[in-house]
Amino acid sequence: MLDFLNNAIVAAVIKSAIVIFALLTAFAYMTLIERRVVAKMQGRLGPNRVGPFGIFQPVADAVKMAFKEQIIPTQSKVAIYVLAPVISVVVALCAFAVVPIGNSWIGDKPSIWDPIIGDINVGILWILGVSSLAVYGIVLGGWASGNRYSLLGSLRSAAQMVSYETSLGLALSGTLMWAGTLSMVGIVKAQLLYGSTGQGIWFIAAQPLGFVIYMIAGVAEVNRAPFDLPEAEQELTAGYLTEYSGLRWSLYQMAEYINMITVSAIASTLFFGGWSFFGLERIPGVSILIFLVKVAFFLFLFIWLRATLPRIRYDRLMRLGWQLLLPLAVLNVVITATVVALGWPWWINGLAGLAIVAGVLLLVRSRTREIQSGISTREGTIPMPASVRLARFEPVGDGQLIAPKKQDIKV
Amino acid sequence: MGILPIFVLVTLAVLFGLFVMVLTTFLGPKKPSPEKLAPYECGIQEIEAPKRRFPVKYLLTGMLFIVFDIEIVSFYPLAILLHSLKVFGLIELLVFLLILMIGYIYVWRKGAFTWE
Repeated sequence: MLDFLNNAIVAAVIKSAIVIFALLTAFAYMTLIERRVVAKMQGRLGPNRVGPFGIFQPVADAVKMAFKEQIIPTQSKVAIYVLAPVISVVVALCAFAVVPIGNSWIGDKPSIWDPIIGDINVGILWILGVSSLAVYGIVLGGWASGNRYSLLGSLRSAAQMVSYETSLGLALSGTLMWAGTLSMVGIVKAQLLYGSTGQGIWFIAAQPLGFVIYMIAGVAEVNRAPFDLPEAEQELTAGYLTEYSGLRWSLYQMAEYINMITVSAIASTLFFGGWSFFGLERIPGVSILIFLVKVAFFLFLFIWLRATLPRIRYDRLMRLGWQLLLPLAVLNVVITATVVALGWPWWINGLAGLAIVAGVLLLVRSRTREIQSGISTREGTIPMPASVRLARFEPVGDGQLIAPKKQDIKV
Repeated sequence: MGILPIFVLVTLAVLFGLFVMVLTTFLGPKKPSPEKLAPYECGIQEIEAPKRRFPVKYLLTGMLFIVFDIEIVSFYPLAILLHSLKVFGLIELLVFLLILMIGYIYVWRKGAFTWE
């Protein structure tokens, strides 16, 4: 009677439906959790009125959004304006197709009901390719709105996303050298303690530098704080979202949160062993739980970042991407390639990566803030009170430092 | 297995997107007025329509992105096979990166990465 369950297409349809449903639910509850967590970090309560602990808040929000008036501005290009949010969300959903959510149910025998939708041998390429389509939804939406804030926001977003995608791709290639495969399942299996391809380490141990670059670039890719320039309220009202309302606006939000989930899923798959946890994953079903916990940790990290860091300035954002992350990613590739090609052990790679991360942190710190107690000018050092911490003077005009005169400074 | 399940997911995702798109046209009130449909300008009237033109800097960034992204794509097969290519692969990779870095430094010195 249940013979149709052995059909590959039926299995794919059911699994896809489950994944889409799970992603949408996760999006809805991420909005609630984010508001609660940010509120806690700021000493507020957050939404707690709708149901116990506010757990029905997402439902209320969804219903309200659905019954909002939809505005199509007169200056918009209607077809593109309506389609752009849909592009965004479809692309975000598609990227999840190759993420391995759990181990095979029975031993190592693959079956059509394994908790992964499609294990193709170019999994990483699929994710990179599809996620770079995400920029279309934003740029088309902003351009078609016929509003200058939207246009500026979408352009910023496009430049930001393409700038960080290069670093992101290069950072991933270090892991791929260790794994020796592009298949997501293969990458997880390469991090197992057992099996023919298992190397017994999570690749974070060999790739700390790659992981740091990936996380920074990942946050910038999904336009989250502190890189949420495209929707910087103080400058651009709401960036590409300005003219959107109701469910269309929700679709953009949905895309952003689902992209966050995807970035978290890739981070845990490539650097933290995916669904594996020191052999625990052999118990059927536990592997899915392990994976979800890892993804939830990274999602919490996103919220934490948003509550902690102020927004970065646009020129610094571009400089960080092109002048710091990209050379570092190339350096990481060179080190990893040397270690892998010469067959050295993984900890050499890990130590070198950690040393570079520490060195860059020290360098950045020494360059961003002078901790001295005064300003040094050509005539000597002007003393400042201990409570004053000086920001570094930025070069003005022809590159000369302009220090204030002695009598201008009130101590 | 193979690529078929992925097409199934893509189809379902597209169907979901279209469903929501159609849904929005039926739900919700529709009371348009000229002020409501005007582009948002922080409460003041728009003086002139926005030009759909943008600084050439963005185009430059886009072109640089294409260069570096293609470089990464052509780089992945080498990364995968590095286990078996060993020293030959390493030297090849270093030469490739050297040429790339010369271009990178040239672009940097030309000021393509400085935003004002």
